Amino acid sequence: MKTQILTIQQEALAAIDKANDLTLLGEVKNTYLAKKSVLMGLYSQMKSLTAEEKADIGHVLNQAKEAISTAIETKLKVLEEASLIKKLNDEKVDVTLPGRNSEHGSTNPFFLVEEEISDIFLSLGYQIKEGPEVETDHFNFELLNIPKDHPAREMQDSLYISETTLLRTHTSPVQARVMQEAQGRPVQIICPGKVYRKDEDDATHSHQFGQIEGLVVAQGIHLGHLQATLQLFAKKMFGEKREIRLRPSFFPFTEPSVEVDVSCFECGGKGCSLCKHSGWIEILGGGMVNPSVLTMNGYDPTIFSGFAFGIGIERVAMLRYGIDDIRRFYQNDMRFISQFNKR
Amino acid sequence: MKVSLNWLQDYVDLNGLSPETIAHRLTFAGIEVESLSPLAKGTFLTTGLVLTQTLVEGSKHLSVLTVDTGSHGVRTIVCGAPNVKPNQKVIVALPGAKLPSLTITESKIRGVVSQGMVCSLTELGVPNKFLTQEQIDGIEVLDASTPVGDDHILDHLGLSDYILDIKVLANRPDLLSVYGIAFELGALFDRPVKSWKTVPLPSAIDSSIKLSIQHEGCDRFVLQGIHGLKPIQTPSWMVRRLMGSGVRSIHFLVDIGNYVMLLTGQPLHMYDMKKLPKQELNIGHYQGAFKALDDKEYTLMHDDIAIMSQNEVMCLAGVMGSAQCEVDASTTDIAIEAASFKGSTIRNTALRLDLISDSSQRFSKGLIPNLEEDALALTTSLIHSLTSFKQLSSPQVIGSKQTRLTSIPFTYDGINRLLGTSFSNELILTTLTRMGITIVEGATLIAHVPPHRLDMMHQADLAEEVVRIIGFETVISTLPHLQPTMTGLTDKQRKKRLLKELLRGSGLAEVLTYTLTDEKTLNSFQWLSALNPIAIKNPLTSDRQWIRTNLLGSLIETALYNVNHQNKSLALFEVSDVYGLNQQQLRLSLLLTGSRPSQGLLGSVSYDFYDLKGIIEKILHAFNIDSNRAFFVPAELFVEERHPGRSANVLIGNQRWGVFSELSPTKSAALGFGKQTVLAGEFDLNILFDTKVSPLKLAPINKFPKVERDFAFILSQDIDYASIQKVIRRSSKEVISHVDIFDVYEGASIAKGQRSVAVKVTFESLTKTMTDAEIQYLVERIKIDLQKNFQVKFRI
Repeated sequence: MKTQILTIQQEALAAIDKANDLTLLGEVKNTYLAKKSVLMGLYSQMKSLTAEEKADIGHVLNQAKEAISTAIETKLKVLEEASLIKKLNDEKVDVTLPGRNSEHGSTNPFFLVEEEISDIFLSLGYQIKEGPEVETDHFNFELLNIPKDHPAREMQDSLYISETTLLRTHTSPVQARVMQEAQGRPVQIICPGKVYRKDEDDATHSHQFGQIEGLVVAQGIHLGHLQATLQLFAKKMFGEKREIRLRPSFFPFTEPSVEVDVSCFECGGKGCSLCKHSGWIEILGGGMVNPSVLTMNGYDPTIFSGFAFGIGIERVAMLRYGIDDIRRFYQNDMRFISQFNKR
Repeated sequence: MKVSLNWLQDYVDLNGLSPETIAHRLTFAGIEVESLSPLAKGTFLTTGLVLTQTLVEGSKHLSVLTVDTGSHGVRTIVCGAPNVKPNQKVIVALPGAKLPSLTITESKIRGVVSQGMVCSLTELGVPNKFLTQEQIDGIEVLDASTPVGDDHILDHLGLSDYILDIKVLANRPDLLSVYGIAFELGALFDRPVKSWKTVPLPSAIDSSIKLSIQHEGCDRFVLQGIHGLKPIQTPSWMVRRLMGSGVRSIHFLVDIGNYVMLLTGQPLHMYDMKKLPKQELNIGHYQGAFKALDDKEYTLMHDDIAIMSQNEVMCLAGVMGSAQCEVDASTTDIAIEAASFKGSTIRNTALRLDLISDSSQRFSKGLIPNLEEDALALTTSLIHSLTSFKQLSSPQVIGSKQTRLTSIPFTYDGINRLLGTSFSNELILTTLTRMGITIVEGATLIAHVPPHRLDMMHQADLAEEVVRIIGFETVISTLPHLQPTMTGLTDKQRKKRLLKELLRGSGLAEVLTYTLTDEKTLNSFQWLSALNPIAIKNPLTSDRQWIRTNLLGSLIETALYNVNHQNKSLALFEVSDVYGLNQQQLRLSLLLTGSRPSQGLLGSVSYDFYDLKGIIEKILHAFNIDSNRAFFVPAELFVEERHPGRSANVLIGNQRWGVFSELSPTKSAALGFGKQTVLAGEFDLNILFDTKVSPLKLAPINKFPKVERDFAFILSQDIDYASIQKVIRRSSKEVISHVDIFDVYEGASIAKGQRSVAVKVTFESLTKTMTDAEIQYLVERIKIDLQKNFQVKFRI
């Protein structure tokens, strides 16, 4: 009986080894471990044996059953794993097909630059102030030291609505509004927005364009403060290595007035076509707030002083991204806009 | 303003300074030199005498010349100029010569070796506007007295000069004159400046012209007569000076007038006295036609300053003279006017008639006061020294001299404080003195400003002079210590950014369009409240005449532009203010057309109504406005532009926040979109941003399980989903957490006018696990309510 058991065990283990799929293995399990199988049948035959034989044969029989079960379990795991791998392999995807998500939308670079400049000054402690585009002559000109018949009105040919209202020609009227509201308290603001001039549209002119003007009024503000502030702006906007230089200029609302050049970020100042071989690019204008402007807006110029500056949004964007024609901002051609969906 | 460097050197010593150094110094003193260019240019130039001329074999215009160039030998030169002849003195460019647009080499032309080139002034870079047609077409023929072999011929012709093109800023009209710039250069380089010279004049008689003024726009008027003048050719030195200033020589009298204006800044006008209808001039008002010396007719208005003789206009003051009494090359009796007119009046006239001239610009920007007599004295002196005349009449003056004297109190410390510098008192004093400013030290410091500096009024102006001359590089950068204030974005600004980021993140492209529009667009797409439109009084063109009252028109134009440029799939938005009479609204407009990309084009589907609605819901969600407060209702009002069945208003509370719709197929086809569906909407952002919402607060996370049950039923198509949802929710408010639709079907197997709807209802209790019996009770209640309200037929 012992021999028979061992033979069956050997047969079973051989069959398990041969069984190469889950069905075959099931059959093997059925043949050797089912209730009606030969091996299980041997348990009922044990009744006729002596107690001693019972113990001996029982032990062998249990061992055989254990060995076969374990072998089947092990094989089952192997086969299941293989089958899973096969199944997963069959499920493979083409990883190079496009993913399913909507693209991040693009933004007209005008807004990218507007937001970036605003963020620089927000981080310096400035507030953003906005004002109406339909403005009165009083705020747009008078309070900024541009009285009627001032020659400077010639250089800002304006789009008029009535004798006394117009589309603002700069965002400076917001400065006047803020100063009036501040009633002699210090201010530090930037005013971004759209402005309008009576200009024919071409590659470098637009009847509508964007400006960001800045204004700081407090005690003891001087030209060195303006220079340092704009230097910081230039570095943040155009790169750590940029320098600025001031050139005297004229604006009715500032005195002294300056044009500000930044060292060319294309060639680093060596001279290239972008900077017209000068190494410098004109980026903005500014100056110390004209004493008449301070007086008209409620500040005593012997106590208070201030600086102001104005940045053209499209101009900065054109330089920054190499845009050749200001009209592109307003055309909104998707071949243009869609290039600005990266940060 | 263009100015000749040679001319400047007549008044200021610029020895040892290169043209580049001069230009740089001016630019960094705020007098920007926009360009610096030589009047004529050429190396290896000499003069020669044409000895012989023979035609090149087989050519009708090419000749072979032998030219004696003195120490450079007798040269064979091939020349194609039509005017070349033997015995002419000519300019010869020797091999190796560099001319503005070519380099001369010894070369074979038609088999003949040409040892140089005979030049025209065009080839030497002189602009054509200064040359006669013969000079442009042919070679330059020099005066017979010119020596042969003169290697400095450009100097001797007065052509070796540089033209500085200077951008004169609006506050410095004194720099609209050669003398003004010379004075400035003197101050900048600390060099002496000379004034112009006059010669003694013969005694004068009283004028025969009767003068009167009836116009407040004329401050001063000085007139001087010269009789029996002998007309001459303008001397070549004067022609060159004018050329260097970009002015073409016309004839002697005009040239003298221009010369004096360019040198002093004082515009002059000359009348041919013999052509005056009456020996009188009246400065007054005139309305009506005026024939100017450009032979065009202009209409004068009441404010214009007219100078009349016997009620006929002889001159439109400061702008242009009349054809009637124009001086010409044969004029012998002249009356010269030097006057001061109000800048604004002249500017208005010149702008209105589009007659911007050198003289109108000078009046507009402001003249140096009290120059009239000096300018006239210089003019008569020049005439006297260049030609002869029979009689001079003494200047007649109307109006008194201006007594403007600007005295500015200041302190050295005040200047340094504004600049953030620490210049010594002495440095500030000497710098200001160089600019012609006199400092008087008394109880307070006073700066007396010279009369030509119309721009200086405050201590700040003195500070500018100091830093402008010493140099901006002396300013030390220090960041200001600003008072801490409430900074960062305001609530509205933050919300605007949030909205933009949300839309960009949802794949929409943000565009920027023009505020000004045409009448047709203005009146289109008024879907949201129509504002009272504002017109521009002086538009550039009629398509930029109105301030838009909505954004949709521009967005649709943008979409059309792109569809016409092969970008057919678009998702666009714009955020901008719109304006009406006394109204300002911040608006958002949205537009979808074409297909929504997903997995490239694999999963792309055409945009439809619900894509746009989804974006709007996303906005409401982001702004924490839930479905209890925002409603989508069919837009009742019929608007021809909109698809009547696919058009909705969005309400927040009881306010209409916005409207969106599919464009009616007829409209989109008519606009040029073809069969492409266009979805668009416009929203009033003030309403969105002003909606008060409770601050975000964590809701309890439910620890009890939720239970879902599906309902499928058939009901009339007229019952909208919002009503179904409302009835279900109402049936047991406390425990229904979600009602989600997951199927809508109408068509075959469903009776006409009916549709099948399937919804999933989620039950949740915050206090216990609900039993099957409780759920079953709730399900039955929902069924009863649906049946009672909508007569539904249940499928499950």
